[in-house]
Amino acid sequence: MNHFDQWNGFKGSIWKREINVADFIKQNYTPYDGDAAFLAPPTKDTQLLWDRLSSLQKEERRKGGVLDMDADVVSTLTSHAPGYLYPEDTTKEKVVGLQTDAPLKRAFMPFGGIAMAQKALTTNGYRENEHFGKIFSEYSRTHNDAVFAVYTPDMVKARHNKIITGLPDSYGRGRIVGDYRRVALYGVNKLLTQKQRDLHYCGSGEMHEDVIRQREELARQIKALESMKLMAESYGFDISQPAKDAREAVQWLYFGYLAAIKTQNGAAMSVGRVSTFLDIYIKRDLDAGTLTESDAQELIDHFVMKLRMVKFARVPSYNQLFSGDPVWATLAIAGLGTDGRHMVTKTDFRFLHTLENMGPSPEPNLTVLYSSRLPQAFRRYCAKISIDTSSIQYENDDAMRPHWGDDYAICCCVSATQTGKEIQFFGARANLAKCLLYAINGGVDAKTGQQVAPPLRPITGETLEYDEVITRFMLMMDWLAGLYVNTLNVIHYMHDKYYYEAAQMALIDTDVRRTFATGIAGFSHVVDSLCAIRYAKVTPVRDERDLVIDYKIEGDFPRYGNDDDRADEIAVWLLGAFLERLRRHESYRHSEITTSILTITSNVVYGKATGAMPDGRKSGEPLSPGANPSYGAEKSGLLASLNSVAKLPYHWALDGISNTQTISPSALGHEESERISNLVQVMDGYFSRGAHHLNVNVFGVEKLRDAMEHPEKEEYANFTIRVSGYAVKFIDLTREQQLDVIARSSHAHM
Amino acid sequence: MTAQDLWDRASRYQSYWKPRGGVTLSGGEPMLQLDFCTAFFSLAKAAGVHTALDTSGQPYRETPSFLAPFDALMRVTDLVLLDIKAMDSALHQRLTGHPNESILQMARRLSAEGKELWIRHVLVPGITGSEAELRALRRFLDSLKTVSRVEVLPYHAMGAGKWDALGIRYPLAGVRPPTPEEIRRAEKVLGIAKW
Repeated sequence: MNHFDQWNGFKGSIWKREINVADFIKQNYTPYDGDAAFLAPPTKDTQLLWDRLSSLQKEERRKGGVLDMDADVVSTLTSHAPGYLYPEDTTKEKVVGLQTDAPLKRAFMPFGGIAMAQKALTTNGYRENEHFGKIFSEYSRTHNDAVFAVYTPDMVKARHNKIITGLPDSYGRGRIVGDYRRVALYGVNKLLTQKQRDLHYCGSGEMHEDVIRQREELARQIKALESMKLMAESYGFDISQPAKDAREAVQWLYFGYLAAIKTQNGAAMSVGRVSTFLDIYIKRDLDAGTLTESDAQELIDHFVMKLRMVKFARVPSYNQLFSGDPVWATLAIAGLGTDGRHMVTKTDFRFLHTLENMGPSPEPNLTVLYSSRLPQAFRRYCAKISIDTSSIQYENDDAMRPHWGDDYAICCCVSATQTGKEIQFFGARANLAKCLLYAINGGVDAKTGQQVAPPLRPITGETLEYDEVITRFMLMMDWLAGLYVNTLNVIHYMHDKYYYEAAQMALIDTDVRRTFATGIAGFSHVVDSLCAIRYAKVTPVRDERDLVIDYKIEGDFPRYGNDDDRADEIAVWLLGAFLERLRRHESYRHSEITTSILTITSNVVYGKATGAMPDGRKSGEPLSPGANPSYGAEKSGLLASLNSVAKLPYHWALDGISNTQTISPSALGHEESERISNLVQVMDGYFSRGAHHLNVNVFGVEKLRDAMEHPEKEEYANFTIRVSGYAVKFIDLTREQQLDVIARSSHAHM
Repeated sequence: MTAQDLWDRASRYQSYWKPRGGVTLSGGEPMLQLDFCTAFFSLAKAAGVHTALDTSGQPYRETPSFLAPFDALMRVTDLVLLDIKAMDSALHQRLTGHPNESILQMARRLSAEGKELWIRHVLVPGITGSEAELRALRRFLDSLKTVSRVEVLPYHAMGAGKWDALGIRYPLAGVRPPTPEEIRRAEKVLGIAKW
C-alpha cells in the first residue's frame, strides 16, 4: 500500500490502494450543520485582484466582448509562458495559472474545426495566421472537416433545416469532467503509474479495433499527464507528488482543470464537485493552526476568480446559440452521501460566499445539489444568496443520487455524471416542434420548402384531427430519432479521433461508462399544440404551395404549466415516446442513450427556425426554454407551474429537465427572513415531488427593463440572471434575448 | 364548487406546506359560509393538515342558530386570524359600519375555549393609531389567554385607485401611511415582542 507524508492525518485505506477519491472523501470529511456566521470577508489581496479583474472585464466589454486573442500559437498544455492576473507581484495570487500568457486572452484552438477557429479570429477583428489554415486542412484534419466528410445528404439537410440543431460538429463537445481532485490527492506520478499499467494490460495482446483505439487513447493520456507536470513546473510547482496542504490542494486541482481548458474549448467545461474534498485539506490546516478562516476564504475566492476568467474564442453564430459568453464552469456543492450523512461542509458555504465577497457572477455555474434533508441553516443560506444574487441553481439530489451515487458532478448546465467514472457524449437537441410541423406537412419544411423528412402523406383535412396528427407525428419521430442518433454517432466517432480529450480522460478511469445525451427542444409547444388539436378546433392555414404555414384556433384548451393533468399527461407521453424511439438505435461505443429537456438560451435561435404552431405560437417566436411551460400559458401561479414540470419522470430524462422561474421579491414575502423561509419551502415542496432542476431568479420585471435601457449603470455591471441551465450577465445578452427574458413569466404570486 | 372540489385542488400543493403551513380560508368573509368552511376544514383535518380561518369576526353572534354551526367550524379549526380594527366601538362603527362588540365577544369565547389566535390591527395614522386606542387594545389582548401573535398592519393607500375607478369618493383621502417610527411605537405599546 502506498504512503505519502502528504497524507498524514488522513483516514482510510481503500483510497490508498486504488484511485478512489470518493472513498477518501467519505473517510475524512466533516459535515457542518451550523450557519454562515463563521465566514470571512475578502482579504486585501482578494480586493486588489478583483478590482484588477473587474477593470479588465470592463475593458473587454468596451472592446465588444473580446479583450485579446492569440492567432499564432496553437494552444497546448505547454504552449504558453506562465500568465498572471497581477504580474507586478505574483505572490498576490494564491492560486495561479491562466489559459494563455495574459488574463482574458483567448487561445487559438484549431482541433474542433480550423475554419471555425480562423473565423473566430476574423469576426472579432483579428488577423488569421494563414499557415495554420494550410496545416490544419492540407496536412492534417480537424473534427469539423472529418464529420462533414462523412455526413449523409439527409444529415446535412436535417442540420441545415435545423430540425436537429446546436450539434457539436464544429465546436468542442465538452461535458467531459476530469476528476481534477486526483491531481491533488495522488500527484501526477501515481496517476501515470496507473495509466501505464492500464496500457500494459489493455487487450492482453489481442489486437482488434476497440483495443487498438483504447491503447492509442491511453498513450495520449499518458502524454497529457507528462505535459501537465511541465505546465505546473513553468509556474514553479511540482505536481508529480500529492498536495501537502490546502493551498497546494487548491492549486493542484486547478492545474488539472487548467489542463482541460487549455486544450479543449468544449461547450461546457465543468469543474466538478470539489467543495467537500477541499474542505478536508482546509480543515486539516485550520486544526493544525497553519491556516486561518480568512486564509481559507482567500484560497476559495482566488480559485473562483480563476474560474470567472475562463474564456474561449467563439464565432458569432455560437454566441447566438449560447449567449453571454458562457463556459459552464459548473461547480456542484452539497448533496447527501449514500451513507445518510449530508455532505455540506464549511467549504460549501465558502463557495457560496464568493458571491458576497466578489459580487454576483454567472461563472462558475454554482449548483446546489439539493435535498430537504440538507441542514436547515445551509438551505436558508442558499435561499438568501439566491434572493440577493440570482446566481445559483438547484438540482434534486434525492432524484439523482439513486442513479449516479454520491460523487457525481454536473457536467454541463444540469446533467449529472459520475466523477472520474463516466463521460457523456453531448448531443444537443432535436426540435420536436418542427417534427410536429413536418408530420402535418408531409416532411416538408415550410420555412425552406425542402423535403427534409421522408415524404409521408401530409394532412389534408379541413381541421386537424387528434388521432390522425398523433399517428403521423409518431411516424415522424421514428424517422427523426434514427437520423438524430446516427448523426451523433458520426460526431462522437470523429471527436474521439480528432479532438480527443486526453487531459480530462487521463483523470478518469480507463474503464469508463459512457452516456449518450440527446435532447429535446420545443417541448411545451408540442404539448400545447396537441392539447389544442384535441380540446379546441384547429384549422390549418395553407399557402400557395399547399403547405400549412399557420393555424386558426377556436375555443379554449388546457396548457402545460397549470397542473392540469389533461395537458401534463401529454407532456409525460411525449417525453417517453421520444426516448423510446431513440433507444431503438445503436449508439456509438455502446453508450447509454439518455435525453434531456433543456435548451439553454438557444431557444431564441431554435424558435427563429420554427414556423407557427397549433398552440398559437407565431412563426419565428422563441420557443420556451427547457421544460418551461410556454410564454403566457401559466395562468395558475408559480406552484401550479412547478407541479406540471415535476410530473416529468427524471429517470426518462436522465440528462436533465431544466426549469427556470422568476419570482418577484414581494411574492416571496415582506421581509428577508420570510422570503428565505418561503423560498426554502418552495424548493422543499418542488423537489419532494421528484422534480429535477430549478433556476431561481428573484427580481421584478422592472429591473430587467431598466437594465436593458441603462446597461451603463454601475449596479448592472454584474447583474446576473439564471437562464436555462446557466447564468449570464444580463447586459451581455443580445437585445433580442433580453426581450425574450422579459417576456417570460415573472411570478408576482405564488 | 363543492368543498371536495376545493380540497382536491388545494391538496395538490401539500408538498409546499410542510413542515409548518397548511390551508387558510380568507375572504371576503369566510364566516358568511360557515358550513362550507366546516366541510372544507374537515377534509383538511382528515388529511392531517393545519387549518386557519382569517376573519373580521363581523358575522359573529351569540345566538344558538349562529353558535351551532360556528362551534362545528371551530372543532376543525386550528387557528383563527382575527382583525380588531378599533377598540372604541363608536370609532369601529364609523370605520366599518358596525360596532365591535360581537368581535370582542368572539375573541373572548375563543380564548376561553383555548383556541389559538392571531390578532391583527391595521394602523391608520390619526384614526386607529392614538395612544388611547392602542392602550385599550393592549389591555384587551392581555385579557386573552390564547393569543400567539399580534401583528400591526401599516395602512397603505394602494386601494385608492380602485375607489376612483368605481367613481366613489375615497373616504380616507389625505390619510398617509404610518412612518416606521409610528409603527415601532405601536408595536411597543402593544408589546409585540411579547408574542
